[in-house]
Amino acid sequence: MAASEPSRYLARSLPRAIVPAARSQGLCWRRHASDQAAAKPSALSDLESDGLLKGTTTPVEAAKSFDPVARARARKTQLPRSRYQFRSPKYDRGPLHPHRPPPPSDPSSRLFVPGPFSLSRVDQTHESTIASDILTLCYVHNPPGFKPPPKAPRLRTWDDSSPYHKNRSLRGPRGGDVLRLLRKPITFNNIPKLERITIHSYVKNAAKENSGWLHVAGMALQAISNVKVTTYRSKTSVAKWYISPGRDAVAAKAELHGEDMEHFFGKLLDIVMPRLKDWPGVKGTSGDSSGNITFGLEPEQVALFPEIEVNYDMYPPQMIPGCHITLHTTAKTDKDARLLLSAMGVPFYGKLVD
Amino acid sequence: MRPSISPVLASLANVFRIPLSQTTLRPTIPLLNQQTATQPSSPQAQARAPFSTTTPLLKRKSPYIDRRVTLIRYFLYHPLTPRPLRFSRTRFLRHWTIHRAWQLYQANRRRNHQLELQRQWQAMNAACEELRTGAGDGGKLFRKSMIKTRIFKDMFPIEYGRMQTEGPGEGWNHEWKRVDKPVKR
Amino acid sequence: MAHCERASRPLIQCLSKSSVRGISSVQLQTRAFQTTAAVQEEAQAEAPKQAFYKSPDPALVSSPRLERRLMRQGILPIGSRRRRAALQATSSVPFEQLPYQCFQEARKVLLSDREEKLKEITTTSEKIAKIQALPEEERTKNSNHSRLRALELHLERLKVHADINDPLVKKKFEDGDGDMSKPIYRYLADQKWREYRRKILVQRITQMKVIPDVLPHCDPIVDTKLYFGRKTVPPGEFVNSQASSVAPKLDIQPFDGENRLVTIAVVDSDVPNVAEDTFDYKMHYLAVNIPISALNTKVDLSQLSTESQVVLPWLPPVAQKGSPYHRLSLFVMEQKNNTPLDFAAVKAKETDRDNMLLRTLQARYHLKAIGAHLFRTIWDEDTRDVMQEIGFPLADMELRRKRSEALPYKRRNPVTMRG
Repeated sequence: MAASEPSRYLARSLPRAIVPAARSQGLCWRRHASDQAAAKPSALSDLESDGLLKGTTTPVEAAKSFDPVARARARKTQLPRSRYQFRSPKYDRGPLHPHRPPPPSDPSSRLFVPGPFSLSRVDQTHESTIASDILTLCYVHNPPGFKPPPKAPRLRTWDDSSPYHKNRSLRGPRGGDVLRLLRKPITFNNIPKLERITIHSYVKNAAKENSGWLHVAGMALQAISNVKVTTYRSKTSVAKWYISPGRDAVAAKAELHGEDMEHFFGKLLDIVMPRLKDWPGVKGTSGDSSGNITFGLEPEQVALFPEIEVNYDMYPPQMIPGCHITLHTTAKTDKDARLLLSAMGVPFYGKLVD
Repeated sequence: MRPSISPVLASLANVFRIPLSQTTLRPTIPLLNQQTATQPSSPQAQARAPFSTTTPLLKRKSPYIDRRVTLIRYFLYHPLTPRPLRFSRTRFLRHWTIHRAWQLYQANRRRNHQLELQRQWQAMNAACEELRTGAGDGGKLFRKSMIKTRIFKDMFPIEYGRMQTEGPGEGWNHEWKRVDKPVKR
Repeated sequence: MAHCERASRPLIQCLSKSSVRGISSVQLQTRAFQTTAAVQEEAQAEAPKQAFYKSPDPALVSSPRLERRLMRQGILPIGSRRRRAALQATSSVPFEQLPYQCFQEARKVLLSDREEKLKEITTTSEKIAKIQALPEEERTKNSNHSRLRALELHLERLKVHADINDPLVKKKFEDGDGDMSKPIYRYLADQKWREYRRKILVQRITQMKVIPDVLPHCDPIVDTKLYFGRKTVPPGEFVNSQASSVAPKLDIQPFDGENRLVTIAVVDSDVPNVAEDTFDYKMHYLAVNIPISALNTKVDLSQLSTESQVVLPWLPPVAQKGSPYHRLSLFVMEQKNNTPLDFAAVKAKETDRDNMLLRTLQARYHLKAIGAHLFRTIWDEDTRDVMQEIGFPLADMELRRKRSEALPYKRRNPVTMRG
């Protein structure tokens, strides 16, 4: 490849004085790219002509007899060691460090995850059915030329009754300091979908008795979620349970994204939820009013997950944890999130609160 | 005596109590297991024994630890994590090619899906505009159709909210005709 | 692909190229850092006339003894020993025909995508040609003008997108064989520059306050490398005054296809002014009308023509003993519309090195900073010689920091406040 176009590379590597001037280096500069384009026969000459994608080629005979495994087996002695082996640095020390870890899509990265290896039902159903259903249900028609009336600013100004109001940052909304997320009308590019799922389990016996409780809880969460859990220490003091802040690791949490999340959600919907005894559904008042819905599962309900059920004897039965499951959606309000989840098959009961 | 095996295998064998040889390589876990297994019967054994040969430290009652918890701890924290992959140059390039093609394919799929949704939205827009202006009822039907309160109250019926079990069906049956029933008077 | 290996390769290549210049061993040059199977064809092509150990092939030799013999002859073996040993028994299937199923499927996807891009390129260039074929008054209309500009940008983007998924392009670029006349390689080089080297440069020139001190603003878009002799100088490095007594060489790499005319200025912003207890500026070098382009990147500041380019020749930077370090900042500035400046007029006007501000020059000649570099100099053992060579007036004087007068003693809690 390098030998195919020797002249120019040779020219570049030779001292400039020797090289015959390819272009006249006098004062004939013009910057217009259009002029350049006009001078060239076509824009296609700018492309790489020698790449892999230069055209379709049929496989040759040599490719048919290609058998690297047999060749490696036939080798009498092992190959010598490679000269240099790259190891990704363990920590990312920032953009100005000379050694940066490669991006996670690079197989030599420590964060590389192969896959995806499956098409999940949750994703497919969302794409084929739920997205267009929600789009249709939430469609609000505005006649052409309609302009919504301008709304008052969400942050209030100070009334300048005091000289200290000058240069103060704007005042929060009436009735509390929380500035709610802004809900935009749902159109084709912001249809809510499942973003991530958090499974959290608070094990109070971990402080009072031994750490085995937390370990079993973590193992159970890992089994049902396929994600490594992280443990958390208590932030509050509960004297009744012998828990003091900062001392006891009392909680385990797993965060699920992507493929893991979809498989977990599928199992939750299809296997666990139909078998919950006397379960009315997710409470209608649940949610943090920005589109994330939480509900809890009792220990015996957690034991219904197939990964725990088939291997039930592995866990000490009294140590199987209950957990809180938070479904994070991209919806901005709880009602949109609830609409999405009900389309997927999560039942809700009771008064619905946004 | 067997020839020595790798420490990983040995520790796994220890955990599963597979006898390797007379002298186990790491006897801690089986010892623990024997201890816990004999724990319930130990008071009677002690009662039958006229005197004890154990030191007072060993005799002190250790808290009962379930063997399953021990196993769970072992598997939760064992350090065998896969090392980063190392590819040769051409293999890396092949991997990169496949990666880029997959990304391209996904992007195209997402874009097509987005365009399909956009098409649906525009069709709805045109239909609603027609309903508003051209239906001849002064827009009454249109206004009714724009009332959305029940949607967020009733949501989807639970019978409808199911994951798909197979690929999408044939879709809309354009040949379908309403069967006119004779009107009873 | 190793990250740091990737990062260092062009540098090493550049060094090896510059070091080999005098020698006529082409062997060393073509070998540069290739780790690919480009040699396979040659390896198979000619039947061996002699026994292998008599004349070992540098691409296939794997025993240490033969390697040493080759190296004694001045030929370096190619690639790693493992690779050479593997190549001895490998049939040469071209990379694109390797019969891995997933790879071939991926190739089909990429091929069809490239076909689409090629079609789009042809249609876009046809549109551009149509607009250009319009008569003059039509073409200069505002709508047509902006449309033409948008189409050209789109065409540039398409040219990059058509090639960016090609593994051989990637490989060529990583090997340093990229042809900078093609947009894809310029794009890749730009990405790589912005990933690390530009960040370092911007950090140095802002942290050492060159940016508000010398120029109010600079957004580097060309990669500038600075060499004193054969040694490359990272931005912000201290340079020995002996080394900097000759004018440096520059490697200015723009990443777009334009031919530019630039002005290069080197400013010292830390000349101590004892009389007024401040620091002054001094222009150490000024040259105008220097052509650069993506292929024509090397500029030797001592080789520029004194009749048409160099306004102020190189003045070796020296720091007096006791003065804080001097920041020597180099700016590459684009001339407006790429029109050459009138050299004689500039030469007649800009004669005073001491009272020349780069900000003034920038305003006067409508320059725009497109590249920057920075090195520092401080008193060292060679400075005295350099000073004597250039006739620096106060070579033997050592600057001392003025001892500040101690403030008169004051009670922390004076009577007047005790009340």
